[in-house]
Amino acid sequence: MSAVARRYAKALFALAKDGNALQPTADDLARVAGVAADPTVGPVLRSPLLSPARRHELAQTLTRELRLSDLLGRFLQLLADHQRLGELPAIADRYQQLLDTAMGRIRIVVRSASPLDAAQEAGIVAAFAKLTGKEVISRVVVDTELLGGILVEVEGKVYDGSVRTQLNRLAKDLSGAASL
Amino acid sequence: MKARLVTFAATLAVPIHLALASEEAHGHEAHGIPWGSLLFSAINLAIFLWVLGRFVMPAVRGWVAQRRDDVLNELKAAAAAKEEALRLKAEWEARLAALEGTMAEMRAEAQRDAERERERILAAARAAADTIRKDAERAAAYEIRRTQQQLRAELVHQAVRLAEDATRAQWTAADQQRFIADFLKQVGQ
Repeated sequence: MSAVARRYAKALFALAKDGNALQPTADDLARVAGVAADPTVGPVLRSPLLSPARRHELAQTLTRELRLSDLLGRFLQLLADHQRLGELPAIADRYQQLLDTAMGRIRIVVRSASPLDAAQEAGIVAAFAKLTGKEVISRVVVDTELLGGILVEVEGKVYDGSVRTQLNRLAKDLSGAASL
Repeated sequence: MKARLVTFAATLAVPIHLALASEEAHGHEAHGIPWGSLLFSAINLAIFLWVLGRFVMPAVRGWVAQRRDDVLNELKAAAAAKEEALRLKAEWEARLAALEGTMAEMRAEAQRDAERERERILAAARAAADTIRKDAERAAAYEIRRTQQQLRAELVHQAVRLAEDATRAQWTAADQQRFIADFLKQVGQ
């Protein structure tokens, strides 16, 4: 994540907080970031060949079509002025982190070798809520390469309980013992 | 001088000779001893001997003396040359004798040098052979270790692959539940 994205996200977060619209702004930002991350739209937004008038027109179109708030509409105009529309996905991520921190919650990614049932997911969320002391929002990703077990990513930290990692560790131990 | 004396003697002898010849002519008729002719011959001989002793003999004696001196000088020179030759011969014989010794010493030194060089070359060859042998041993040991490691790595890889296949084939929901429970237990600790 670039320093530019962090600065814009911080500024938007401050404005949204002043306007008491942290969550609506986050929702709007997530929608417009989703559009900006689209493989067909993203390159256009990042193109240096786009004229300022055309960038403003794009920002207005996004605001109108997605029915964004006035705050976010002005924010898009600002990004268009500074040719930073391509930074929208990164800004949205950073804004979400700031919002989560402000709301006392964290997001975790749970990678599982097989789909988890509701009870299993709830158990994982509860365990990490207890561990971090924060509200936990989980996202489950099925990853068959893990073979079995789960792997949880929490704010850049990885808790690994997968069979794949245990097998890798076993192979490393065997290789190390064999080379003695 | 000599020429004038010879001329004087000849001038003196001619009238005497003529006078005696006239007497002889008369004497043939007397049939006695020819005293005049005899006297003339004696005087003539005396003059001859006197001229010989006065003018010829000194020159002959001088020449003989000179010749003797020359011969003596030549003999002395020859003796000196012989002595010098003998001295040189002795000197060269001494040198030759010394040369033989020097040559023998040089041959001995050369032989010792050759022996030392041979020993040095042999030592170097032995050291090179030893280094080659040790290198070969090290290379062989390294190759053996490398092959062993490869084999072990391959064994480990195959074991892991078999374990993966077994896990994929036999992994059940109960196994997953047990893994999650163990994982959460560890996280909680």
